[in-house]
Amino acid sequence: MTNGSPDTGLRIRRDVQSLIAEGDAGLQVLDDYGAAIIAMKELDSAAGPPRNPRSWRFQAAIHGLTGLRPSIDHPQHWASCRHNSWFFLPWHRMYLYCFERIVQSHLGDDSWALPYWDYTKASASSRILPAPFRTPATGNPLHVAERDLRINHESAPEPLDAEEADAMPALRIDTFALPAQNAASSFGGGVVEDVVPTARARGSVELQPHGLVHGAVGGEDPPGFMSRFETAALDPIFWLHHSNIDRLWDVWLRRWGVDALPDATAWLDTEYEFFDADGNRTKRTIRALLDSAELGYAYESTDPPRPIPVQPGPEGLALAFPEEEALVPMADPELVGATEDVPFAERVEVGIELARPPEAVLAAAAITEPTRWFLRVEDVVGEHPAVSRYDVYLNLPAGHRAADHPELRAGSIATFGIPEASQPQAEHGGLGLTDVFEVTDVMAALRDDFSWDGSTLHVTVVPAGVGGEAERGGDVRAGRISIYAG
Amino acid sequence: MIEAGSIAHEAWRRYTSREPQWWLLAAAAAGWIGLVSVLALGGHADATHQGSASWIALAGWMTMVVAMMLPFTSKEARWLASRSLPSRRQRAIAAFGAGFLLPWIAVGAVAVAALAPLHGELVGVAGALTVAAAWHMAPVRRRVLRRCGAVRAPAVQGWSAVADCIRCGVLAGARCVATCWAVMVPMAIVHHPGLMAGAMLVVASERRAGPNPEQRAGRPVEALWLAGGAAVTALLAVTV
Repeated sequence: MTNGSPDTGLRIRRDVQSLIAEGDAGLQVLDDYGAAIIAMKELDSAAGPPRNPRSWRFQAAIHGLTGLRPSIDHPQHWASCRHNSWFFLPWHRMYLYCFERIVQSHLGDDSWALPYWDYTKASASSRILPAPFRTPATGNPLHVAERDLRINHESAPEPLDAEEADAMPALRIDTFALPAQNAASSFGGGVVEDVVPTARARGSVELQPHGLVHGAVGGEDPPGFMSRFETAALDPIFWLHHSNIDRLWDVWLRRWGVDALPDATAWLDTEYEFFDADGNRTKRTIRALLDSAELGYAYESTDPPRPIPVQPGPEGLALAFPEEEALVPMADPELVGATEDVPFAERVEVGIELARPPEAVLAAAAITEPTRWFLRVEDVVGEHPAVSRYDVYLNLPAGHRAADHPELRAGSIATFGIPEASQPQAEHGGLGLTDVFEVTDVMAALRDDFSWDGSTLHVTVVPAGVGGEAERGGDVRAGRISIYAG
Repeated sequence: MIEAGSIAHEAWRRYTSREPQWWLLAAAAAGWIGLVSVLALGGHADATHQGSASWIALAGWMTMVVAMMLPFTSKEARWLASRSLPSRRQRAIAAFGAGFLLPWIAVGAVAVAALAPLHGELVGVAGALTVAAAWHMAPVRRRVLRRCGAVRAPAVQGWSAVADCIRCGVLAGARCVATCWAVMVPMAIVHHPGLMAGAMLVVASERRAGPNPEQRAGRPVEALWLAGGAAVTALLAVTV
């Protein structure tokens, strides 16, 4: 099956649902993928450290493989995946690019292109794990049992939740990366430009949909392949999931332009080494990874799920800004309140006393003022999460179901990455992960709630997963939950 | 003139607002000025290593630590300030800075006493720089260095906020000792601005922003500089 575009000469990465809808011709792309997986597995003994760079386990080990000690210094680059910084997107782009070339070499077809799973579309069916991946027929190389049973069910699969698959919160952020001291949210992750990085928040796209989809597909009872760094790339859907994340970067670039990317040489000239189709090492700088056309591929669609607002910020709110106001550079958001040590073992509500006078808080929450509000859940650690995500709400009325108040939802913390970031050998010695959510529109909704006095903000954290709220959350806890405004 | 003054004032206000840890850098600069002045005026730590004046030697050591090490932790201090209420930022920075110096005081007390017999000996400096070159490449040092920026978000109110900042400072100071003790030991043997500047250059070179940041820890180039310094010092010891 040829995926090339006769107009551009680029190979086209297709939406897996388009391929399935196309029938036999489209399904051939997935059959070819399965055939390549079988060929890759045959290169490996499935025991001990993998040795052949063109093999399935070796490729997975680059991201992480159980039993192989994580080290970015390892000569085979095992467990070298970059997460939780502005390197997340470019590293995974090159990872996919080289994987795609290895698949091509196994097929003897350099026009084969990695499909993507676009779960960001409006229809619930797009959020169902594609059928060829959940058919447990003997020898189906696209199926693995190590997934959440409800997601992986052959005949009655549960779709991903719409909120966890939504890419709009990330796509509407016009900032690719922010230095660690800036408490606002960025699309791609925190700046890391020297050897001593300080703690920074995950990029919004790395959190949602990336991390949330990882956790939902893998599940936590027990953790499936997609739920942990050290097994994720063993699941064939991993590569289609990341193809979609890579596509979302192109969607973002199409909206905000290449000028919105960092111009620091610490980012642009950072170089990655992977293994090419022939198994030999190949290097590329991030500068050479920015244009997917230069890498020989394009996506079937780079349309956003919904129109991205003209100005950055929450949907509907940013458009309310007069243009001249929105163009005023925003000062770094400042801390206005926080609470420490919040366990997520079960649904929990904590109060954050705001340092600003109530009337100032309420006035600043007015949508006509260019104040933006951010909720940060900082230093989240835990080695045994019981769910794939934790939903966070502001001022959720006592006794109410969280699902009945989407207007009060700040966002969701993805479990994916938390156990890894809690290990003593992790970059920050087990300090955990930080996520940041823009809550300007939630604060605007609260301003209209006259029962709120503006002095204390109540944050509710709800353990959740496929099927909604869960009773138990495991041993995960936040070092601090903070509110910033600026 | 008045306008220029107000522009400068506004620029300073903006700078100090964005860089609230500015005074740590000012303290380091003052440390440099003090050390260079004392040495230029003929003062020498030699006298301070004798008998009851050893506390002055410790003060000299700490002045060197302030001058040489504080600039490298200002990023963490700034981060901590950004995680504190605006009204408590300076307290957070001061508590962090104080905590940071504590491990260096402990190490200094031991180093000054232990290295007193070697004081002024260029051979001792050459040996210490050789050790520093080897330590620079040690995997354990690289791992600790990568964690030097691991600062936890502190409590926001009350004494627990101050205690958290001190704790963060102590941890940062301990990691700084673990990574930089070897380049500081020669300073306890011979007090010389050139030696201090060279040591700072090595640390700054390793920590400056650049591509592949995670691979900049323990690079051979800085180890070679240290080894070169050891060779030059050994040569001086033989010829002078």
